Amino acid sequence: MSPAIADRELRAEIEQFLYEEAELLDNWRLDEWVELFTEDAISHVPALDDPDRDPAQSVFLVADDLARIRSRARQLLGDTAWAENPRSQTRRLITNIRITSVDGIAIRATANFLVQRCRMERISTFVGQYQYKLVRQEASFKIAERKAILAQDTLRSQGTMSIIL
Amino acid sequence: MDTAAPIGRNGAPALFHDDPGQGIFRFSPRVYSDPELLERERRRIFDRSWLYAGHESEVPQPGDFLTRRVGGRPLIIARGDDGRIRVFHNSCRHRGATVCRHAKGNTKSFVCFYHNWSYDNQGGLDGVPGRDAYGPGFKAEEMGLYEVRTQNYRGWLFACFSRETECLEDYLADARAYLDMILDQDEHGNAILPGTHEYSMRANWKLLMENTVDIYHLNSTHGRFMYDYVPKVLGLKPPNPRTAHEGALSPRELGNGHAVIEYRKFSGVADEAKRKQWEARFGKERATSMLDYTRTLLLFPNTLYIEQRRVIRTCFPVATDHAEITAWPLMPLADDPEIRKQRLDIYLSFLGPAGHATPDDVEVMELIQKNCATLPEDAFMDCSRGMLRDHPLPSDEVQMRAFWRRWRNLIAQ
Repeated sequence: MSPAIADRELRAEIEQFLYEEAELLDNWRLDEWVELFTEDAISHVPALDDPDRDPAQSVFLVADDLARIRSRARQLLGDTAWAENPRSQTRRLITNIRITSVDGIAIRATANFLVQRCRMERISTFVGQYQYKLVRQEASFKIAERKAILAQDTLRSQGTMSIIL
Repeated sequence: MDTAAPIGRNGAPALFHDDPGQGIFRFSPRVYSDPELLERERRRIFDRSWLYAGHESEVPQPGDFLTRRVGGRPLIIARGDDGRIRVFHNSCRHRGATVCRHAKGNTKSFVCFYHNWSYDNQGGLDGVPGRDAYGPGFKAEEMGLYEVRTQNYRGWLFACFSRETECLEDYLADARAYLDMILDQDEHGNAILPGTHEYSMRANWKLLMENTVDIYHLNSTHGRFMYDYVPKVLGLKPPNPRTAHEGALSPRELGNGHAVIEYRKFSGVADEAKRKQWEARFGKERATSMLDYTRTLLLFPNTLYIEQRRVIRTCFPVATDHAEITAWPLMPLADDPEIRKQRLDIYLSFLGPAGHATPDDVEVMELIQKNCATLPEDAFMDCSRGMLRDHPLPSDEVQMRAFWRRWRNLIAQ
């Protein structure tokens, strides 16, 4: 198999994986979503002015490890996450998927996202780039790193962010 | 007994019903929804009060600057080559265009791109293309950027748009001692960390002032945080609502609308080595307060310091039903990296705009806002909790009443 074809197949696999992940999030299947992560996973939404800072030394919007990823999902599925109770409708469009590096079983990939949220007659939109580190596991992948980097300068237009990006 | 004159539409019910003898404190929902009152707030409160504008650690080097709206006005906060921090209106003296359009940076000069007038980093006008076209009445030394009255209190930069307002120290009244108590704890100084949170809500700005000093709602509104995040992520026992206020201090009115609530530290063991040192330095009572209690300080009109989360938070009205919220964590300079991480987590997980509490607070404030504009004209909000208690609790509403009484005096006078 030529490298170009192998690349295309890997990209198609990743694309499928990201679409399936998006479906879990959009359909509030968060208990299944948390199973996609490795034990040492991180899920970050960095500060809007500089996505490359260290979450231990600067302020992020979300800086979750696995325990925090699970807690966030449990809270959202419970009935006291008032900002999401009743739940919002979301739909995410994922495009521009590119593999940036392959190192053994670890693959880094980026994708653009547009997440629209609608709740109680109000619509807000979040646009940005996902940066993933995926590790191959059996026929699929696990997420070791997931960064959602928003392409905006403040959160003033959406207010707050109560959904998982 | 009605202590405030009715204002607004003819025959409209009074804004406040304040009767300490009967334990009644009520106000009209119009305080959140009436555009005429917002106009009064702008003129009588935001144009005359000392407003938190920034922290000196945000502009550490000569030439450092940042731009920010304070009290609804676009400002530049700049440290000049002379090392002094000044605050300017971000507007060219020629025709008023914005001279600095970057959020932050370091510069020798600010250049307006309309006609290239330029100003040095101390605000002085130093470049006017075609200078010879101006007559003798044009004096460059009088044409520097409009400077805003500013005071630096232990690193906190406050701005005031009125020359008549008293000095900051007098304005802070008894809140100053509490600010000192907070700042004295960082023996090696402190600094704002990068990554400012700038968000908003579709609700009146005053709702956030009340909400941030409202302890009563913690267990009902923030169950998800208290009963999931606290035990399952932090590994701590959530506070028992029945016993949480044992040993609590009463909230205090601090003059000029400022107030403080103090409650026992939610977790953690006081540093016993520090206790000895601090008892010697500050006296036993103050050291105990600093080590075993934590405070939320409300500086009238729109600044909050939440000591447990180490965050300065401000809120400004954009419209009656729209407010901009900004939050900056203030961290000790001498910090163990692991402790720094925990401090950030405590802030982010609760008060961050994507945390496990703030979105729910915004939800409830937006619900209030929607209702208050449509309630009957004689509807009122109740704010009397703990009014007749000898020793009110942090979960009472003394601190909100301090805010409202000052607000009423300024708005109704």
